[in-house]
Amino acid sequence: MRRLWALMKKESYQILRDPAAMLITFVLPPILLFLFAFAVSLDVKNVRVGVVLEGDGPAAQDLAAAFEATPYLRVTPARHRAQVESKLVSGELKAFAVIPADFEARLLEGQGRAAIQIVTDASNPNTSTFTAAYMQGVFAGWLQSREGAGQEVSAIRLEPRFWFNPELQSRRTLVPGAIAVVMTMIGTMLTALVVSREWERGTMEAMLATPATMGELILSKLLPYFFLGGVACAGCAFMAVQVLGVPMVGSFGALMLISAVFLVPALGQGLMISTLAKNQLVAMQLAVMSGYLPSFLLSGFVFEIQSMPAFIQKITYIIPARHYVSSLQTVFLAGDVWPLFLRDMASMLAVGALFFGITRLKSKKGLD
Amino acid sequence: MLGRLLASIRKEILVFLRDPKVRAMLFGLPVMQVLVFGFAATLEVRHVDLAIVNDDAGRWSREMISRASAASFVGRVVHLDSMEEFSARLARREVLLGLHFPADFSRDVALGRPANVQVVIDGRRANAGQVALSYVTAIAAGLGLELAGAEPQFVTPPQAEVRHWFNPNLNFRWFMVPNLAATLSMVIALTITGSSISRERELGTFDQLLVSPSTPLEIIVSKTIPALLGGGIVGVLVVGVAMFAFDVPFYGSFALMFAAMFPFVLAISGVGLLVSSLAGTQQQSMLGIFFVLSPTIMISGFATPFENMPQWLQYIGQASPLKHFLIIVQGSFLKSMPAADVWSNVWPLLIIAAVSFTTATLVVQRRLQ
Repeated sequence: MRRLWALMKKESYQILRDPAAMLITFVLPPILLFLFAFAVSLDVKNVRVGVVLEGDGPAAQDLAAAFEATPYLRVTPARHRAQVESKLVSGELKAFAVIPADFEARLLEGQGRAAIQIVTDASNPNTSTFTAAYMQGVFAGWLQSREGAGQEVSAIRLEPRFWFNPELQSRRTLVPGAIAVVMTMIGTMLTALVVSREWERGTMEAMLATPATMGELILSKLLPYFFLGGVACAGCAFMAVQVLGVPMVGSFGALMLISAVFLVPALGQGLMISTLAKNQLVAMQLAVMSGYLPSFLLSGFVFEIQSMPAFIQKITYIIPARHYVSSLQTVFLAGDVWPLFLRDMASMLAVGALFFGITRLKSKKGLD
Repeated sequence: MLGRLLASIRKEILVFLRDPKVRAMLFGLPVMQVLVFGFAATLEVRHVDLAIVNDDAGRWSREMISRASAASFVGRVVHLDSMEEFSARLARREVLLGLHFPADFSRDVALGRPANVQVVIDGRRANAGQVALSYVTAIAAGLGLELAGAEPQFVTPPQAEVRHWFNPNLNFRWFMVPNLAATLSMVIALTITGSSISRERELGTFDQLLVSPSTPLEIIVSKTIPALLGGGIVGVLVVGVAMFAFDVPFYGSFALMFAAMFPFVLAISGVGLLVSSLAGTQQQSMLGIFFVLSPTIMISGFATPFENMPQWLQYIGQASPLKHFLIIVQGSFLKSMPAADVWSNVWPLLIIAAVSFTTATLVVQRRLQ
């Protein structure tokens, strides 16, 4: 026990002395959280669009004014399509609306006839969908204000409600997801890098020659990162709630418990990578490709898992961050849903057991 | 002098290609990545689970349910008896959204009154939920239009016709896979240059390099070539995967795009060398690279539009080489972007390259003294 304590002390000093590790643990997480709150946004605002006014009728001018008055659109007026088409190619404009010369006649005709045309730059399909929907909304709103309220436009009226995130702020779902990315960085990437360096330099063999057992050595390497992860998690949660305005509906205890369980597979993966690679450059690449990027792309906080092809959905089950993100978003936004937490924690522990098992098999061979 | 330069370039390339693990990592991983992430990274919504709580016994709710169930965005349909059961399922993330038909739904439709449907969506999955809502809205509008044809009290308003240029079917992969080509070639070029100087320093061979007749500029140039090759090859590979495995159309000019790739990888290499020359050990340089990499990707417009960011962040984003190259790649693939537009995104890359290389050379020179 005392031996383990001494080894842990040595490892902790090593981490605290390393400026790069400190940078990754304490400087990068707030930057990432901040960027997820402000840079990664799917909300449509200040979209640059063109409005082509081909005629001079009063209704056409009124509609063009309605587009200009919309706070979320930055309108470039034009008289001919050709003026805006090249700007769609260069990316200056994301969409344009054409109000045709015979707009008034088309309006009177009614009955579902197209009165205006909206052209979007669909090279980013997501933005183009949202922008088109928004511009259609401006047109529909203009129609309604013109004809006066009270006239029913549809037989079926939807009443959408977004539970757990009523104002639909993408920040509220992305910031908890970003915590999973941060924890993967600390748990998997840092560990993979540090342990692979020991292999590369041969100090791992030197350590194995000491009376310390393999288990003690590994534990002494992992436990400091476990605590580092815990500190980073608490710090991120504090920043999310106090600075970024993410609510914390569930309990702090549940958050820390889930995070502690997540660190088991995360550290296991880091250890596995370092044992397989034994080379810092390869370990770093593997950690980025199998840990960091999947925590982003396959964990379900940016891209919907159910929409992925079936074989990729199966891969996501061995990504620890997938289960972690599910619980994180729940504890922040929905509250303590224990059936969900228990399911996710069981999955994370199972993945952890798999990673540690592989490491054990491989490291035995390596010592022969 | 040229012979000396060529010799050191040859040495740098050999250092990287010697290790089979490094070779596999450089060229195998990116192709695997683009296959996995190309399929995974989609903001389209398909096969999500839908819950139905139907308090209405009439025919119109059944009609709407059968239309929704047949839609391609719906995977499993779960019929539930009460809203309590539904809210428990939603909290456990077992369904993405639920439709709740009140008891008088069909009666309202028959009477020509607007009939309400509650759509409850999991806000934790805000993006998928929003897209799913737009599909449900389209289904309701379609049914509403048919009812309007039958019932004269409903008026159909004039419509706005929508055309999506460059990607008419809104295929998300056409956006994502070209972006991955740029991003992965950046990751490779950064990794190669990032560890180059610090590795020599850690092994102690950097001192040897400094006492050799090579000038700091020659050291920098010879260390850039492997990154240019690696980043270039990965870029070409992934563009190939995009075109042949994902069927992304390429309307622009290959010559223009690959010509623009050179200043891009050059700018990236400059940043990588700068980090590497500042770091003391290989590990520090790799963490330094990572420290640069993640924010650079996030503020480049890789997954979400650059213009959605606050103005001051957009100014910072101009320093990200990826931001400029992404515009070129997307433009070349889908929009057949003309040379003038490509150029207006190339010169910022040249400035980034000039600044980072000058600084890196100065740092190496300082170590020399």
